[in-house]
Amino acid sequence: MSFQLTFDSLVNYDAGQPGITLDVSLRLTSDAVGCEAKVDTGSTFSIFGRKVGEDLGLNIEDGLKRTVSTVTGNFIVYLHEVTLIVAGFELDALVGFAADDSFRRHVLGRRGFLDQTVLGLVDYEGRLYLSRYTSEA
Amino acid sequence: MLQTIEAEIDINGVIRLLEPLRVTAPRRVLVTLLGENVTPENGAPASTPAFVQPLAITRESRRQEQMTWLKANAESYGGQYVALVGQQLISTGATFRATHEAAKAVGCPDAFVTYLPKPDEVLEMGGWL
Repeated sequence: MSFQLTFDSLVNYDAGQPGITLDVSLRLTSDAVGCEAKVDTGSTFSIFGRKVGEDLGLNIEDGLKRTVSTVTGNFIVYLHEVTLIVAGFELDALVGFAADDSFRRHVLGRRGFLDQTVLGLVDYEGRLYLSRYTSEA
Repeated sequence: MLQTIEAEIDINGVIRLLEPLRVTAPRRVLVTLLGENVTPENGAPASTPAFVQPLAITRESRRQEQMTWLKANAESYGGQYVALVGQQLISTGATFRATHEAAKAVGCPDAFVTYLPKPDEVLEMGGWL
């Protein structure tokens, strides 16, 4: 038995980097803030550094405060609704911004990103295929 | 979904809605002029309120309303997905799919769907710390 998926977008990423890294933009109103984020299927939400949120004009502490657990300890994030733009797809999502401004990682996680998309990965070739999920997919 | 409401248009082209109308995103409309003038007999009574509030709440105000709702309702609805249009809860569910499908079924395909963590829920982050 074989299975077939079709995708609307192909992203070529650098397979030599430690992690599958994509260009991402976040938008709140008209201005967008760009950064690189790693696909992280083990992350509950997409999480970004505090500066990304501040550059968007957010008051970080106005969001929903939650604790994030990692293998090396916990840290605090504040969740805000933003528009994520990945490979040309716009996804309204709740994402976390780290309270600590020394946190510089950006990740695309499951809730708000993976749950709205169809994602295919060929790491051998450094290719990530992406579509926004629609019921026709 | 098509929706028809009654309205009057004056000679300056200003349209006065005679019924409340709420949309959650910019929508295209067709304006059909009926072949009759507004008269005391067929027009709205002077006491009829004109529903002149903005037809569409802006995306930013909707976003702010949704954040307010999420913060106020994490205790009651945390641990599941919710679909919101502003501060109006449209549907809930265990998955994005179930919640989105339920919102679509009641005519809100553009509802904001998100997982709402419980207040004391510890989120996870994978291999990047």
